[in-house]
Amino acid sequence: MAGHKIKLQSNDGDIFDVEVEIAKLSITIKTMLEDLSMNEEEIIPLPNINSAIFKKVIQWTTHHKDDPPLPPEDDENREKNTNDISSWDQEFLKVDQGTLFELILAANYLDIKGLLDVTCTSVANMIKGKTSEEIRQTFNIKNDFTPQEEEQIKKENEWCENK
Amino acid sequence: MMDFDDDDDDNVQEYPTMSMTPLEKPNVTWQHQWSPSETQDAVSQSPFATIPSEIMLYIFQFLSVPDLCNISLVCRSFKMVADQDEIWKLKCTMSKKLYSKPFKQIYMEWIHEKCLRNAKLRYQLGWHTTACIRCLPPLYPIRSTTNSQFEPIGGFDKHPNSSSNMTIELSVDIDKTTRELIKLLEKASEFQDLWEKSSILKQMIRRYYRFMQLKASLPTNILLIPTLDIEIIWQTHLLRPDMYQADCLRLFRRIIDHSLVINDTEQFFKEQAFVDTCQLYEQRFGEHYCCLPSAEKKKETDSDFLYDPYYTNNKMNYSYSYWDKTQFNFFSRAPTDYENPFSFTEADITLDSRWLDMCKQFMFDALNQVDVKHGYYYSSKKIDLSVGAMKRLMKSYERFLYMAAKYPLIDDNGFVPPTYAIDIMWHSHMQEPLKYIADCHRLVGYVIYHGPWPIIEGNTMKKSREKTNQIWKDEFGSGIQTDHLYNTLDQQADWD
Repeated sequence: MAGHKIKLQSNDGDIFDVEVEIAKLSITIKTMLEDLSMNEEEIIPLPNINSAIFKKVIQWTTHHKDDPPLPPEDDENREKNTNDISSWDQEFLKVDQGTLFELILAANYLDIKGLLDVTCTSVANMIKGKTSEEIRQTFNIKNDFTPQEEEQIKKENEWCENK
Repeated sequence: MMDFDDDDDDNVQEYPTMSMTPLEKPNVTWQHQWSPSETQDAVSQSPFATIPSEIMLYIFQFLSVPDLCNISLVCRSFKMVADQDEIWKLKCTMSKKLYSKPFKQIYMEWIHEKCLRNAKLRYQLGWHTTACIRCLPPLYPIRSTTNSQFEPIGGFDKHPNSSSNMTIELSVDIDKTTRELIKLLEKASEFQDLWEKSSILKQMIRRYYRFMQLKASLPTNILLIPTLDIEIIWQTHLLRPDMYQADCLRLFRRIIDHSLVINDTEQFFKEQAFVDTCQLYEQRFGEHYCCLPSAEKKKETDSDFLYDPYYTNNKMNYSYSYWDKTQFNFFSRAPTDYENPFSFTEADITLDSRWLDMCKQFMFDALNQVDVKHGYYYSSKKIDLSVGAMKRLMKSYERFLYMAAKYPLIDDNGFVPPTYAIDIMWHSHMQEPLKYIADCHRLVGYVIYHGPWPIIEGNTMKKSREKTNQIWKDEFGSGIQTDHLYNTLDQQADWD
């Protein structure tokens, strides 16, 4: 079966030949292939993903195709950790903000947990250590609080700080 | 375990006003009353506009509490996501939900509790620096050697008084561990002036948290070497086994093991392990771990305690004094994004730092209460760890464990507060948390939780102390305060 390919189509019309084993890292595609027992020659449309992003996704999945599977839904009560981005991934994620967020959406839609983890971690790292004003600047967000609301939140935050 | 409620003590005083510490209970009165139209405008120009809130939630779960505080001040839609239970559940000591209380509130109440604990402990530390050591006048006769009513209990199938050696076996090499522990504490107190400041303690706690994260992420057979500052915090955590267990499981999903004694293989790799620890830490956190010692410097420091007669055994012990190589090098300001995810507070660390001096004082005073023949002459207050002394200390600890098995902590009848002498052994036993838990279950039937807290000698405390002394005396034929100075059965211990 190695090297066996399927055809996937992005929303701007490009068709990609992708090895089945790689495509199946996407749970969405895997389910489609298994549940719908689709014809080999049939082109699978991916209405939510454009060619540029899909290329990035394939690049990522190709690199990670031999990774050991992630532990099945690691206990949700665990503190999550942001320091585990491999150097390859760090290089891979040197993209503009728009691309990064599109990758998150693509990973979410295609259900590729590893890619979702690493992209979300990357955004979390952009937030870490910044003041709220710096965060607003980084992501182009407006402050929509009233002064009273802001006061109230600051008070509440005091309760969360370790004394 | 910890007695927060001391209404029954006679000399409870008002706490001085603690301006920094809000003492009223936190209350989340905050209600979000924004319609979608009132929250969407702020992010409309941002890439976050495209992201569904469950993904935002996922991203925010990676953030620390200080980051979450910043996040909730960004805009309304961030604030709404940042308050979700899924986020605060990860920060709380317990993951079970109580009634309909939001996890964020549970978290805030926990912080409040820690805050109170810290303030109270600080206050008591301020008042009770010199009044802590109280020894009842003992001079009991030599303990009796028979006990007719013995029935096997827990892991005890012989009465502790029936042999001059321990009748039980501990999984921890108590002898070695004790020597290492006292060495460590001496070292820590040497530098105490340097580290006992709030801003530095915060940095130490942070470094400890990071070290533990690193340890949790690596297989258990990988040896990581903590620095002195990290070890100090680790000690405080270890001496509160209930907190340690709960915190470890919550933060790292397993109980992180600790030991002061390392085997020959580890001894061999120690130097390399230290270098590796530095590298791993720096790679992961992008922050300096510790200066590596130069070769000559190492030689000097290695011999520090090695030939001290109080600290060495007949046979030469390995010295695992890696903390000798640590230099303190901290910023004078506290880290801005400080977060203490553990249940202990800064004042707990301060409290623990007093232990060694109190222990020495206790040991010294106890000597004056017992007629030790053939004149031991102690010119200093160092803790005697010679063969005979260790043997007696271990027997005392054995008696303590026996009492704990016989009088479990069901009601206040069961409380056997140990002395500093017994505490030495107890602390040593807790150095290896997994073995400690196993030993407790095997020997006593439950885990004996250790809760350091300054003792206020009120009437209630006095009564319970007297009662304990009586129970102890009835059981073993000698008082608990000087128990560690009596041999059992024979007088040979010191000439072994």
